[in-house]
Amino acid sequence: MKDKPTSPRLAWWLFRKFIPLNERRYLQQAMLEVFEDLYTRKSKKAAWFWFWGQFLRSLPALLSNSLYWSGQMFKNYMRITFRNLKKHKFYSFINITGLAIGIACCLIIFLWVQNELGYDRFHKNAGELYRIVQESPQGGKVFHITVTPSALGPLLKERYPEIVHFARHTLTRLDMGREEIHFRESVALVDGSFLQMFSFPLLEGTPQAALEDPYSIVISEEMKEKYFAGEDPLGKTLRVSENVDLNVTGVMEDIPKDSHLQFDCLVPFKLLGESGFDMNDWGNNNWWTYIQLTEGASYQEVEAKISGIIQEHVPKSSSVLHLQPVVRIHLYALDGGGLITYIYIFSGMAIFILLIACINYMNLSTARSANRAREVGIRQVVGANRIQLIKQFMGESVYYAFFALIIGLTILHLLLPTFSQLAGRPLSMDYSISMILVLIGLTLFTGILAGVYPAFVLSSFQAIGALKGALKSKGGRVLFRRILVVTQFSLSIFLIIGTLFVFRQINFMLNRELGYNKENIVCVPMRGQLYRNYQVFKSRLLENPSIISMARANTTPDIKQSSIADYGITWDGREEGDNFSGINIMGVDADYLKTLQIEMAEGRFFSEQIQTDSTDSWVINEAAAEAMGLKSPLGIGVYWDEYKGKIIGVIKDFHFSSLHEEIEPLLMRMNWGVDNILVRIRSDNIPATIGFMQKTLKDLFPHSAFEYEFLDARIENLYRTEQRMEKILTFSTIIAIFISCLGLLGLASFTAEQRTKEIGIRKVLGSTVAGVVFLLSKEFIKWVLLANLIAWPVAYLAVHNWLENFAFRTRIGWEIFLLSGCLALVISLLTVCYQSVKAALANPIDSLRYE
Amino acid sequence: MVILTKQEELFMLTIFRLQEPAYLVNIRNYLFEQTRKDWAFGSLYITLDKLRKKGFVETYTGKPKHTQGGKAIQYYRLTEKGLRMLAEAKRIHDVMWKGFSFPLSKKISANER
Repeated sequence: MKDKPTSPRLAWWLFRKFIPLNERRYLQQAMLEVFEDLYTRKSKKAAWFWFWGQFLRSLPALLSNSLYWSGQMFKNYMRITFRNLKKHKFYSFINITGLAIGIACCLIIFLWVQNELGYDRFHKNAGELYRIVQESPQGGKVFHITVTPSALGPLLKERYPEIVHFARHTLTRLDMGREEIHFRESVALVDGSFLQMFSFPLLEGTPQAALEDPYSIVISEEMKEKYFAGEDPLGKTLRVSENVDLNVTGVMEDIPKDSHLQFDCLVPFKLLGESGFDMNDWGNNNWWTYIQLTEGASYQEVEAKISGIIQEHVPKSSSVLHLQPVVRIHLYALDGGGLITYIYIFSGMAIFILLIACINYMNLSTARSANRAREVGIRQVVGANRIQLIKQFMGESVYYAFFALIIGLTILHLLLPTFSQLAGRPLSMDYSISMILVLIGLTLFTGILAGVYPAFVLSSFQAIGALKGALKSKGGRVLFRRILVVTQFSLSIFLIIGTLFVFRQINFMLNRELGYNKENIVCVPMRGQLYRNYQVFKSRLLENPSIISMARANTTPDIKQSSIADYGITWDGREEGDNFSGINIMGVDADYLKTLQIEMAEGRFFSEQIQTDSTDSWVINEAAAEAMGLKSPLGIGVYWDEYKGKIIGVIKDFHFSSLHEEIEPLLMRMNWGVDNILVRIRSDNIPATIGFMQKTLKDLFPHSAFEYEFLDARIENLYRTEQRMEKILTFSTIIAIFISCLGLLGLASFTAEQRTKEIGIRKVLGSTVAGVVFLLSKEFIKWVLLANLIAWPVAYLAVHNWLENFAFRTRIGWEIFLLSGCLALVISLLTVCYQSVKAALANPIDSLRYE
Repeated sequence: MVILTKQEELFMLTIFRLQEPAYLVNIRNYLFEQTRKDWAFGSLYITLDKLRKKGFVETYTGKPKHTQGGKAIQYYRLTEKGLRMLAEAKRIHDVMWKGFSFPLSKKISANER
């Protein structure tokens, strides 16, 4: 037998894949016989050729046959699944509801993440657009600023061929008017190439020419409707700030919501030049500079080339230039973190919730596996192998996931409007191909995740034991189930703790003493004629007894606006190489202290009566006195550019930016760039007071629109992200707890069901209802307590990490941990209670009568 | 009323006519000799399996032969039911084919007219 004929192995392998064993055996034999005959009579080649021909021609018949039988089995599996679903409505309800909510949550969060990640991607050259940012180390910390000198853009374009376009950009709010129509609009001053870089489509006008003339303006569709309803706006004029006329040269579509650039109209940067502004200045940091690189240019290389440019012109500066991709602006904060953190947190949460729902399914299916044992036994006896059983049960969980998907989509559509509001984004569900693929993927993932463990457990039954009904829960499985429940509850407790801390931190921030009284303060921006006629306006308003006092400042006290770098300032007795790291500067008027109700620590505040106060006096805060190392600051001379003077007073520290930050040193100058009015009013009858203010303004300056905001609302706005997060967290936590409880309810009723007889005997022997309830509940209590122990340290770390974001943070108190634990315990007890009490109250005659 | 397909009829007749115990290889060989068609083992097997399930054909395993590498062969034989089906098929066949010839004989053509 030296040349034993060998048949093609590949063909056999395929055979084995497609055709069940019992059919294969004889077929194989017969084919081999002919093959060997051919092999010996003719040649190896002929035999191989014949064999493959036979194989390929046999396939259709064999395949259609085996498909037919798979179809039969599939029908059978479906039928069994449906029967089980109907027979055990309660458990099916728990499983499907849990999975449906889990899927709905995942989808909602997926939609939100997709929306956030899609920010600024609608620009045709989104990948080549960058914003130039500055990074400067000061006093051991690194500060990032997004604004740059106005001379930077033109220089870059001139020097580096990789940079195709640059556009400087700044935002301001200006009064606009045409005939009798007056509004305040947000105006973007940009270079001409702006419209070529960014894809803000023009309905009228061309991107190249629209911003050529310095006295041109491109307006949004919305503005067109406001000022030129029904007319053709091209060539017509709009009056800006009551003294400049601009020609409308283009109309653009309204700016999409998912753009970080938001404005109502565009005005050429050149207009500033016309008004005598130095457009090539290195001394100011007031402009955002955007550049567009050539396609394929490496941004790291460009970044490396430009990083040191500032020093060439401002030798003292320590700032380094970086490029920030436009598509990252919305997501990534420059000093780390940013929205992307929340995206990770919420995605994690969605996965948590889905996991909890899957755990419900696993627990219930394995706990109740005894019900399916006979079926498995029979299937094994008639020849089902393990793989087939696994497939069956996995398939079953995928069906469940599919039902859940349908219900989940319904939930999604019901919740979407609410959630859009919560997230502050218009979210919508569109059934595109990719979305459907995501849906299918999610269903399969959920089904497989939920079904894989039950499938392995159920398929591992021994036919003999299963048929005899002598099926005992294996210790290992019970343990695994406990681990799953503990995991579930750990996740829920973790979420409760997280939510409570977010809640507490927000409350803490909103209620913290800021060092001034933020209630009942109306902020009115200064504009046009108000600048010159402020005193008239003020005296008119103060005639009304509801208006207590008025002050002006360069900024409202919720955001800091201007700062001086450490090298820009000096004072009497300043030492070389101290670790002073710059100071904030604020312009205020004499009534600022009184209006905001801030207290003095030392000296006095500015006064209208003393002439020199507005020309050579400073007021500093306590933090500044400390940072400057001044023991007795009064009378010390401070020098900043052309501003000089002596310190006349020290005010107590107050928060002039969000509580994310420490109270920084502050220098105050009288009447320096004051363009915000702060009005303190009485708390009674606020609408009438506002109405009075509006009327007074209209009387004095008929062409200006009245715009106002409450200071406390502005302050609340600072913590909008956190508040949004609080809402979403609360929502997710409730859902997580709800699903966990559903699972617990299922398990509890299952346990009660199983122990019916035991309870009957106990009651006959004299056990009390309370005793039985305790017996049934104590196991669950144990699990929840264990879950607490696991969740606490993890939650502590997470909360601690999150609170690091805030300079002023609430204490991590143990009572919240305890409270969360108790909450989880109470909720789970209530869940279990119903079942336990029901079982305990049952008449032992009923439960024992079959014996 | 079950009517055998042509293929089923052919296979069953082959089993009937074979002088030796019928199994896949010799059934295929015989069919090839008579019809000159090279049957695929797969369709052969499936058809025979369907016949078996309908109860017209039954299988039995022979004694392991030395030449087969010691493996048993699955043989086919007709059942009582199968034989009755064949008889029925023959009756229908005879009735249906009676008097047919091509080209048509004058007598029938005349009748039709």
